Amino acid sequence: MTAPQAHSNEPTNDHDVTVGYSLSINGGTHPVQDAWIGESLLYVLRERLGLPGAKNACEQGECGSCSVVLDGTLVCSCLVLAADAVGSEIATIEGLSADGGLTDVQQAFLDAGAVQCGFCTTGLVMSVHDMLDTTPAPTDLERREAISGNLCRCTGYGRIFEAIDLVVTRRSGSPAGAS
Amino acid sequence: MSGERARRIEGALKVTGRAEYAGEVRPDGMLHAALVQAEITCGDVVGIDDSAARHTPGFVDQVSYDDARSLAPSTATALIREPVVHFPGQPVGLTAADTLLAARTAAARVRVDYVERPSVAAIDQALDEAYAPAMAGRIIGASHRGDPAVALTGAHLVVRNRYQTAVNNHHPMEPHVVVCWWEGEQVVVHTSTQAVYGTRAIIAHALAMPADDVRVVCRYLGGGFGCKGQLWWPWMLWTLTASKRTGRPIRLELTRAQMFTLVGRRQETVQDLAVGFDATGRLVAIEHDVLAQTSTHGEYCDTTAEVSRRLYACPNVRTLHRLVRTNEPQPIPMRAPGTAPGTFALESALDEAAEQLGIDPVELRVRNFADHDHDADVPWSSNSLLQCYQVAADRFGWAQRPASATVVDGRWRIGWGMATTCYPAHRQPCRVRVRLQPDGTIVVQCGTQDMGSGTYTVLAQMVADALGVPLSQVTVELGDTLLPEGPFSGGSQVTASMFPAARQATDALRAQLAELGMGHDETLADAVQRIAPDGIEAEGAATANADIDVRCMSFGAIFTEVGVDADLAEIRVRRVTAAFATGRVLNPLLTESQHIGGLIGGIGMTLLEQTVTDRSSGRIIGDNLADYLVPVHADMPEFDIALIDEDDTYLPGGVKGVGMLGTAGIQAAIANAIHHATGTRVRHLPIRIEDLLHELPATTPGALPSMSE
Amino acid sequence: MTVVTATSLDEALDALAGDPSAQLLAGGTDFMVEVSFAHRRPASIVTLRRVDELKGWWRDGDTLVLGAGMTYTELQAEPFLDVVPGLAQAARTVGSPQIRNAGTIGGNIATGSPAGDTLPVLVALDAVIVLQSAADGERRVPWNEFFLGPKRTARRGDELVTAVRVPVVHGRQEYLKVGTRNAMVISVAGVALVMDDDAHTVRVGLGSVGPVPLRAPAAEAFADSTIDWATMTIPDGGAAQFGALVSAAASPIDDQRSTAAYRRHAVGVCARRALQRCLS
Repeated sequence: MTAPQAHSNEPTNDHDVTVGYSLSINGGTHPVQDAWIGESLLYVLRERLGLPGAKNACEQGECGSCSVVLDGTLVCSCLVLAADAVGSEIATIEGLSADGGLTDVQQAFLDAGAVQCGFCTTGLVMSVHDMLDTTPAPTDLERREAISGNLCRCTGYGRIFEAIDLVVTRRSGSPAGAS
Repeated sequence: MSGERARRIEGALKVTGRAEYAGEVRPDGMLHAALVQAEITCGDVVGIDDSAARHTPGFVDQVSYDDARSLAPSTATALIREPVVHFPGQPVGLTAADTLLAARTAAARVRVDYVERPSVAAIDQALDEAYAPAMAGRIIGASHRGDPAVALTGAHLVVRNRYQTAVNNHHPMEPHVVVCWWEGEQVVVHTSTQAVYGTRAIIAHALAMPADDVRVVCRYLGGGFGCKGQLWWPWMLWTLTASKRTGRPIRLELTRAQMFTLVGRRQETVQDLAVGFDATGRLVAIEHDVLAQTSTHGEYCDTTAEVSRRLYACPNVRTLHRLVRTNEPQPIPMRAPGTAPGTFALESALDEAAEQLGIDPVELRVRNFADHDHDADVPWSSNSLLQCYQVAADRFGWAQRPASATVVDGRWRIGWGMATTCYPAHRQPCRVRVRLQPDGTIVVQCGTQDMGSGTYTVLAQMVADALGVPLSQVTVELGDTLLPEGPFSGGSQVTASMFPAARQATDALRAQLAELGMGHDETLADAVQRIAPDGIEAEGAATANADIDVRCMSFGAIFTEVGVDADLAEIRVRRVTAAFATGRVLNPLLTESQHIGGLIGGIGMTLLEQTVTDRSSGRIIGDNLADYLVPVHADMPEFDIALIDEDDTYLPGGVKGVGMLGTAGIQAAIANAIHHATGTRVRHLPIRIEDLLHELPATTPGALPSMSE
Repeated sequence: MTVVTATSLDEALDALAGDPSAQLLAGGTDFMVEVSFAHRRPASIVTLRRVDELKGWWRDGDTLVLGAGMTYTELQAEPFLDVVPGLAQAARTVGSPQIRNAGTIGGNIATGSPAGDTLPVLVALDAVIVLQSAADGERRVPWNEFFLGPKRTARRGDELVTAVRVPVVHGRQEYLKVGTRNAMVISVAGVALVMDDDAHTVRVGLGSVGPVPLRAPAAEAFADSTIDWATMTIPDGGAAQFGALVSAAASPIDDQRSTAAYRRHAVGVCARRALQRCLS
């Protein structure tokens, strides 16, 4: 036996400031009060603003489950300092369809069976929308690269490609290929 | 006779983000919890000083061993009642605070004093302490039939090799979470679990409460694959303890790093396998010795050698499972437990034998087809494996298989390989309630949960079919212990368990309506309004058959094409063709997706996934999703899935499990294809690119002395 | 903790002058992880996302000046695909769209990870890193004086990487990277190759095979003298010998991502292939 050993992992200081600010999300203004200034946008969305559509799965930008659109670009909200997003336009899954219906991407995910447990799904829907906004007819390689930042452990990804095919077909006005 | 390709009935909630997962329940005044984790590998906790933690702004409470002493002793409470550190990162306390950051900061400030003890950080450090457990999963740990030692001596060909598989972690996308609060003497627990009823039982036992005072809810589960079960119960119970004391709702959510240590793992295996054949390619003997890791606080053994007992016809078979205890996290089942590592060994060995015997790998398997279960000497309830080989081989184009290492596509060497997969078909007791509402719609209730496989949808389909109503008329309620008790989601059993209970419930409902005078031409809606204006309900309860006189298994055949970069040895799976026979297919859309997901999981196990531990401390190296690689979209091969419908008259509804099949067999199919492409036989998982360059030193997953007895 | 949301270069530099230990936050791809897990609580953060002076790019004679705030997404598109194709290729191999939208070339440089994907290209281009501080104004540091060790650079605490200067070179460029996945992969080995058709030189940058990004001088000299620049061909066996010399220049280590032996082999193969592509 060795002698008792002490271990601790003491962080730095307690001069933590809480701040109030407002975020512009899905076209509305969302005040945030008494927030610690180091909080991520993901944390603020989920824990302070009641917007749980962006999922917390890795907190390090490796899984895409927390994808949102910040000033027009797709980002992982876990890597965005919320306080630094003041003045930016933030779009989340909750704002995709104003009337509470489904977007064509969401409908295609349903039709193609691209959903299983659903935890990665909202991030994937955001990524597919983002890809198709900039690349209406993506090649196979473009599709694979565009959504490789969104990990899924259930579906094996096959049906997600079929969902993308469906959207592309439907947007181009061809007869829908849903089964 | 396949069912409808019905869309997922809860799908709209999931694509819009409106499905409420357990961690998203948000009671007023909720606190956040964080775990204090051991920094030593093995030893005793002799002091916990939380005075610094208590000064953290927002700090509310800290619980540790002293606060759990009153809990009933059990495997679920041992780690929080006894101040013993069994593995690095084991929780030694829990902090609760107003915000997550405050809880995490406070946890980091808890000072823990330990007395360290010598540790065992890898199985090869304690081989002399290996022991044979009585059970491997639900089978006896050792088996013996005939005289394999003698048969191997006289065999025309013996293939004898060691196969090794790495530690894997499940990593469902949703981390484990509990949100709990007390209402007087009753507790409400929202948690990500594969077993709401199992969780309720463990809480009631630990806290010595009537089970009815515990409500466990899990409406949507963000994946599980085996890890959303018992292993994390200790930390959940600490959370309940803190919630009771503070009188506040509390949430504990694990971090991704904690998902490597606190929720279980696929155990690593070292398998010594000998297979003997006669000159015609018939198996004469199998010896399969498995060595695997378990923890110093719990025993778990995958059924790794089970495939060697019954997948093929063979008169002489000996199998043995042995375990070594290490100061590493506890293993538990992970998707295709046992069959994933077991088929890797057996199906690789058959490929080696096929080559040496000069027999086509498919033909070798056909010659050794087991027309009944030779291990238990009972018939199969159904076995369509021969049809699986034929259908998958035809669709893959196997007849055109070229000689080894001859096909090149640019910088890629192309290889083809195949393997068999199987998984036992079990059932559990299950109750289902069906209510016909006054408006004619149907509500179905079952206290199981949907892990993502499609339980909501198939249960709705079963009831809609039985009652002859459109699927849109059926609402399903799952994931709540206020509902009739249903099975845990594991072992590919839920659908088969629900079917007879649902059928009983719908039959009983129809019988009640008939008794009340429902007319033959009357719709359910008309009938309920006329004769039961308050609605009417019925329950079905099915028990699990022990299946003593029959063996129930699902089977499949998996064919792959891989490309291996001629110079860099990068490995890409290009296409997978598989045929699976799983009884009656209730929903091909969901079933195919399950198979593809299972196959991708198996591809990850074969080429990417490995939880690496430091051999001196047992700590996980790279406990994040940048270092623990799982397949991404860009890795997806072309899939061709054939569903072989079976008419299994023994099983209720003819239903077998689906979820595990794709995650076994694929490993050997890929390894066999890599051998075909390169001539290199890799007998460990994951297969790394470094293994395929002959001029380089191969990666060695630990040199072990012989384990033969 | 305080956060300064800098909206101009002066604001950022003043904040750094006041607290040289301040953490700089651009894309957040490394830093936010440590903050979220309470591993680190720096007293102050200076965020750079809104500093216009760090965005964009311009030509300074034959030199391309890339603002430190340029994202990988910007770099993987035109005009960089034409002007510095190696850099565009490298940017495209970084992480995912989400990461490429957020991560910046300045962050890649300032972090100084040996696996940083743009770094082999920058060293092959003989890049010069531009630093600024409130006290000393601008300082230009050649790459070989900037990268000192794994995640160690010559940047002082009060300095900001504001830009990187690379020459516009006429000739083919390639970036090849080895990884076990098809995407979302940290480089096991990376090779950048830059052909200068005017000067008749070949330059090679190597990533993940040393404590800092490396060059391969012997391989470069061999290529310069062996390539027939009139026909843009190399004699039989020349590309292979070039690859072998590149392998010899590497000084890799074993870690959980790969072995030293594989890495040494892989940079040689990638270099050979890159040269063959540039000469095809």
